[in-house]
Amino acid sequence: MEVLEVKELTKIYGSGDNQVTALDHVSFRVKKGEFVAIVGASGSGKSTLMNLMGGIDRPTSGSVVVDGEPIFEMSESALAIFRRRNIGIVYQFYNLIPNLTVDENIMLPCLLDNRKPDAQKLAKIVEMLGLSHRRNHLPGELSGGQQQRVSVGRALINDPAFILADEPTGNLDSKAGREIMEFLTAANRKENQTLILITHDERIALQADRILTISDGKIIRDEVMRV
Amino acid sequence: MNILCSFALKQLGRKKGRTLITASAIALSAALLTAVVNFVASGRAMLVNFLGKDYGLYGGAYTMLLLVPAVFLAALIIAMSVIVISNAFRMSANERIAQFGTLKCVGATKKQIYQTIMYECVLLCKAAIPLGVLAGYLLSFLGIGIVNLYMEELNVLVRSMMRQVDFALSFAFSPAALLVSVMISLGTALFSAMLPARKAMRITALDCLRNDGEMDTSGYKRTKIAMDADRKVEYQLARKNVSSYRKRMHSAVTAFSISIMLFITLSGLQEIAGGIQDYINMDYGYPVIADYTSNFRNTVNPKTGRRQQECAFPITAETAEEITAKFREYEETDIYGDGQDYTTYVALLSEQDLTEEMRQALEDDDDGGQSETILEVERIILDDAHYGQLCAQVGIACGGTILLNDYRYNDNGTERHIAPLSDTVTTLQLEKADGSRDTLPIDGVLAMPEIPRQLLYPNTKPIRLIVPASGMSVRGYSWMAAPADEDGFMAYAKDVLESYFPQNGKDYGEAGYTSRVFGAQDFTRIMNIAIVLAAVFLYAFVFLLGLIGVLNVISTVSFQIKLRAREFAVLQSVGMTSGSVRKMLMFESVLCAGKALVIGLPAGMGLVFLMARCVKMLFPIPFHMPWTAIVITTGVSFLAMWAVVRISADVLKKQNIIETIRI
Repeated sequence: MEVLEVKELTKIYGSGDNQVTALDHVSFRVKKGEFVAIVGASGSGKSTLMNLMGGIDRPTSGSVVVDGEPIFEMSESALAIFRRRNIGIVYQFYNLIPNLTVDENIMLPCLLDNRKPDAQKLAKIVEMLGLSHRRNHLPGELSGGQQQRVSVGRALINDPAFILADEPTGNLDSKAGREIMEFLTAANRKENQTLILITHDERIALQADRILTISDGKIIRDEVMRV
Repeated sequence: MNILCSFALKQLGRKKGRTLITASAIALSAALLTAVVNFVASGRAMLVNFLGKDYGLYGGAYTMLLLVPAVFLAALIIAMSVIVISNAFRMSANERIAQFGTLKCVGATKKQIYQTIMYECVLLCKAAIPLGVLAGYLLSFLGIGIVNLYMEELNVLVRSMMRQVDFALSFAFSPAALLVSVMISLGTALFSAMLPARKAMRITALDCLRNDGEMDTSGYKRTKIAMDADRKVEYQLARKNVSSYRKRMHSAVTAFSISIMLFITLSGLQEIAGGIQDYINMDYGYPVIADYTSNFRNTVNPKTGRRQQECAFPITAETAEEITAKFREYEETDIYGDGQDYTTYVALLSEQDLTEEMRQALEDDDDGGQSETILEVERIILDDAHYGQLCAQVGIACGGTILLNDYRYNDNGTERHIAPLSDTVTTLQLEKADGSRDTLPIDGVLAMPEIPRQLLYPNTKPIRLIVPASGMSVRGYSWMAAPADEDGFMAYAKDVLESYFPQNGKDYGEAGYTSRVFGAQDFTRIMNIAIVLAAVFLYAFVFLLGLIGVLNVISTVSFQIKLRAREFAVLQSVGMTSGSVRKMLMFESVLCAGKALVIGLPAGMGLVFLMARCVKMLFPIPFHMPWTAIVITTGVSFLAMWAVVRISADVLKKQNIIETIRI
């Protein structure tokens, strides 16, 4: 079953002589439970692709269908609501809300929906991420690795259709980076959580089931690593 | 150009909006300070013109009258300006913290970092202070113009009631005042910039580079507010944010609170002044009053140690009656003549002579242990016609003494009328200051509400007696008149009084006595002019001071919104709609305005209450909290904060989430 379908996605920045085609008719599909790594050099268009898949940017043409819903046909508000329920995003620089505690940051997508998160589920995520003793801490009181774990927790809390992780280890030391990858892969393997990871680190990409290589805004290779 | 100066100039150019707001705050502060200093200079010139170089006998009091309000107003302006300007420079320093880090890394000293911010201040002052001083002179000019609109009317009134005056406030340009204005304005701005500059220079290079955009490295404060799904998330986030960012919003909230407090205080003051005006309003049904008052001297009787009064030229009842008759000759005008003697006698009373109410009223003053109560006696003489009418009303023959058995006193701000003497009192033991005693029989009694309203004037004594006029001399006598032609009567009455009490062009009291003819509403009109003038000036002052506060709110809120752009982008990236972000900001604005109101309203109401309590000790006036002003202030505060946040939040519409998150 496909959770994500990217169809003829094109994104052009600027106009006239300054026109830059960041994505050029990109198409692919991602199945439920799949771990896809998107690799490419700097400026290849992978971050643009991620922003479009996450619904935080709109394409020049083409569509993104998540769980059968074409997301760019939605209004801005509807898309925001869809995003908090169906897409989990992990950024390189954590992007946590500085005055919310660990628990509150993780619960944020639920709270935005005026829903009380399942306490057991929250406890399970916090425990899995090794943050049980830090639940009432503010982001400023945590290490970079711990902050990124909170970010992973926030992405997982709503059982999204897929998690988009943009260079999640890029700002961490190797030990913390390894830990984050373990959490993400564990979610993928144990919970059958679909994971789309953008990286330029070949070793990390090799952990994926499938690697999409992007260059000059086009997918130049689509390799299945394991079935 | 010095490189540091060039950095400062670039920063000013880069942040045009805030530069404009900060310059406006400095200019407004300079304008208000200049206006205050110039008013003192102009007021001094007027007093010198009126009273002579050292302001005459009460020179010290007049100097204080000029300086105390000026120092109070200047202190308020400086306090508000320091809060606002200092906050603007703190924000500027915050924005450049990474730049300071880089500068420090390449070898800039602490002093150079300090100078960079101070250059910014000096550059702003160079433009804003001259403009502010000019605006201040314009304000003074306008203010003096407004004063002079009322001054001629005031002069006419004072001339008719007191002396030949010619008050005129003229615009006085004094180089010394100009220098003082510029120095205070410059000092205020430099001191304000110095606070964040000193803070910035103390931060290490590493901290500068680590803390992108916040000079306060202590981080976010933990709040006790827990988030749950029971209430709206926008509201919960807003509460948390207001609590977490309280330090950042502190100056805006403080400035707002001060403005609220001042406005409430001023409105309360106006209510109190209105109450006093109503109280002193002499409406006895006679539009014209003529009076005569002799100069007097209070002395102490060497034998008894009691206070006594010596009148230079007391008026006899016969003379008063002659004048009454002459006044009546003018178109058969209705005249009510009465004269008072407040000081000749005191009454010696036993406990049984007093009513229970009077004993209670005197309880506070009672020093105990005395079997006799001594009360002051007011002897009143009336013109023959009205005395006769009063005797007939009481049912006694002319020549008797009538007790006005009513004592009006101020019971903590409430006017109370009580009967001081019990029904059993038929004679009074009276004693003079020299200790000699007389016994006076009481032939008739009038109690409230039978007492004619003409006799219910302020400052009455506890024992009031209408006595036969024959053979009496009193210090002062007044004739209340209800002529058909008021102006004609006033001119006629002046001539009559001048023929009896020639002043020969001498001024108030210089002849040993004063006689005057004036409108009964003139006191009220003078008071009204004073209230209007004070209200115009104080409201303008509070408005301009409030404007400095609002500039601070605009500057702080817009800065905070820009500073938190990434936070808003993150919220949107995890699924918060832009509508929800705006709603959260609206809740924040309501909470901030609420916070300012929670401080400003009770402070203002407390001040009003204290002022009213003090005034009530002197005047029995009703006290009303200025509820209309409180409601208006509350509404305007929420509206102003909401509008500022709404306008500032518009920048979020143009914000690109992706770009903002990447920053």
